[in-house]
Amino acid sequence: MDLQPSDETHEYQERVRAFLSRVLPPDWNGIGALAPAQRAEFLDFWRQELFSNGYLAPSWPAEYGGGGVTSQEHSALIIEFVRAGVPHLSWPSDLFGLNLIGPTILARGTAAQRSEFLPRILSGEHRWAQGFSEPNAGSDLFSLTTRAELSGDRWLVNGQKVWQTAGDAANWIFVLARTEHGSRRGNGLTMILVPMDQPGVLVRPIVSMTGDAEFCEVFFTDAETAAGNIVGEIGDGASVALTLLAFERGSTAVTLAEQYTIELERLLILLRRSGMDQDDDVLERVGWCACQISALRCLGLRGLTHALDDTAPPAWSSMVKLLSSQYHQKVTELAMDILGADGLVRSGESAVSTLGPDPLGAPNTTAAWVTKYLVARAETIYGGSAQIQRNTIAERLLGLPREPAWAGGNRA
Amino acid sequence: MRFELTAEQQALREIIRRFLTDRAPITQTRRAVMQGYDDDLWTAMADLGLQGLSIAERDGGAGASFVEQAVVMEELGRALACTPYLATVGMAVPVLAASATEAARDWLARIAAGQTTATVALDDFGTSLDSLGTEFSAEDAGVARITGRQRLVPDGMTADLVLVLASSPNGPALLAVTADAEGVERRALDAVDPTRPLAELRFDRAPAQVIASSSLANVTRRAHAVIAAGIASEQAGCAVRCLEMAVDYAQTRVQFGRPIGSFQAIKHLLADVAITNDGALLTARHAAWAVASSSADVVNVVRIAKSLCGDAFYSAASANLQVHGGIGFTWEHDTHLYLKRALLTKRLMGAPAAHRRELARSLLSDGNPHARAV
Repeated sequence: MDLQPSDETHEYQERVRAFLSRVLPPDWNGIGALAPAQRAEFLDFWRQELFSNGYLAPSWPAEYGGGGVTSQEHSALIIEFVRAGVPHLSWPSDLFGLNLIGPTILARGTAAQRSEFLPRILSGEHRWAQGFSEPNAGSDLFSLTTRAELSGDRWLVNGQKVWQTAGDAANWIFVLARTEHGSRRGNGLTMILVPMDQPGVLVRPIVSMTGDAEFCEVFFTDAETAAGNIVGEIGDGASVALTLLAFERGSTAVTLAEQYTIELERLLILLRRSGMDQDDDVLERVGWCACQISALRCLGLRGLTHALDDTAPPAWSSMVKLLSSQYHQKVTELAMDILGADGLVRSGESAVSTLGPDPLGAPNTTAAWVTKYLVARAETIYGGSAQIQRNTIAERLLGLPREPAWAGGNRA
Repeated sequence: MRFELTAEQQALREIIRRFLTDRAPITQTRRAVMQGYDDDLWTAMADLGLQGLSIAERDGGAGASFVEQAVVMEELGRALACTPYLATVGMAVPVLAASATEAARDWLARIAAGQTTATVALDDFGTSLDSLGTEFSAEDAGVARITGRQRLVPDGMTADLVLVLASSPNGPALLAVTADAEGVERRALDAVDPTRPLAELRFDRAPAQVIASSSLANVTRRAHAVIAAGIASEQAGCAVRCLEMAVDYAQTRVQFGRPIGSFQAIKHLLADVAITNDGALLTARHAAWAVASSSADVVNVVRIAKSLCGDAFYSAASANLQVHGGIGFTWEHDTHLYLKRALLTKRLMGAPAAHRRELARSLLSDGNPHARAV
């Protein structure tokens, strides 16, 4: 046990701090404090600064434009960014490009694909969306039916994908599709990279219960892509998808803990303002929040330790997902309870981020908290529901037997 | 940064686990419950150097860090060993070590040698978070005599030495009373947890030795954090064992033609235990490291651990009982021993909810967001 950062990490952290104080204006209070109209402008500027200073994809190898740092240094960078109130992912599509398909192409793609796609993810020429879930394949992802067939040197993709975050801003999508006719479950799937600017791809926003369109759905009608645009072998898609999903949650625990801390500090201000800061019940719930954040951070720090040794405990990412999604529901419920009847009317400035906790400087208004509260309802559903995560923990970590398949009958 | 036990710490854990499997199986705990402590086990523990593990070398100990101490606590909890270790090493040693006076060091050496068992008589079972106890009054700080009463003293019937924080005409003082002194009356209580006996102590002008009389606020603050961190580690070890018992049973118990562990009702219950257990174990280790490195945020880090470990152990013990069904309700089964230990340790040195409230108050009054413990 040694929780002090290594000398190398500490040095890197100092370099990041120096970069931040050089690039950010002296009166900087976090991106949340910018007027909404200025935010988009800042994000474009910020992304360019990250790109030219090697901080856009810190953990990618240097030969592909990355920073070549260890996961501990990467994590130190994100912590500094979160505390300074600047994003490590500037555009919504960066989560899918920089964090998901980029690392997947690095791990499973060909040399030609790395040269073709990685620089374009960095430059922002390619803006990615994910294409996993379907209307009839949510938690049960491998029941998906979107199909792709080789026709000459092109794949033809047909079907529907759903829940694309910022799908209307994307121009490429990675699609898990069935490429073997009649195949079942995880067999016969392939990970296909499809350009979205073509007549065969139709994107429609979905207005969620928040009243905003955080997500889209995507329809494929003979959508085309080059035969070489698959990651891994034909039929290998299930295993490539699992590689990708491991990236989705692998690095997030420490980051989330830091973001939740910023959010909890905002809630403490709300609490003082409300005059409820002597209420034992509320205080206990605030303390509970602090405990959960600490548990999440410890889980993340242990994950980073294992990453050094190239190991990962079974179901680790399910633990992170379950802990963080349930936490975020509870803390936003606490905010709503502190707001009381005031929380029934949206007033003040809107929330800053689409999903997850708001960054430093974000408005501490009923409008913002109501949106956070509503969006948090989805967190135990998307990315694998809380129930699926519990199954995964029970089966992979605890070794409990799988549930027998449904044998038919008794169906209402 | 490495958030993992070192190879040496893991080796220590294996040694302790083998030792306890061999010398303190749970059948032994049951015998100890009926007959009092197993002196041979205590002696064998002393031979291994467990009593003096984290006592400084100059005081006859091994000078190991609190992370090693916490590993031993986890293992003793896991085995549900029935020994005066928590009272002696988990409670009295931190008080003596924080005092650091000649008198305190003298007692530390005797504990390290396995010659002395000790306990601390706490106000309200340690729930008052900023003092060690105020119910006694010493007459004179020179030749002290102490009068007063304390209920719920862990291992109070068998401890050779009782530490008491008392008020005196010259201000508060930390006093040591030997159990065989005149004016000491002890009464065993019918404690719910049979593996950790509680006693009521009455002192009527009992002679007492002054251990420390200056900087007591620092002594109690430090001792509180260390004691609570040790209990959190014990709870984390207990909780892990409860989950193992429940998983083992769920894999073998067949109902409706299949192992009950294949039902989601059981899976989800145990998955929730797994996740709270993990948070508990990790925050307990974080707290142990914070104690070992005298980290500035140690008080809040320990509060977090004591809160999460108390609840995790209680949930794990309850889930273990539920998964076992009727058989788990019997005296013969071990489930109840863990549940009762969970009840006791949850309350000792502050209940989870009290720690959460204190933590929130501390966050609300903390002006520097980057000095935070969370």
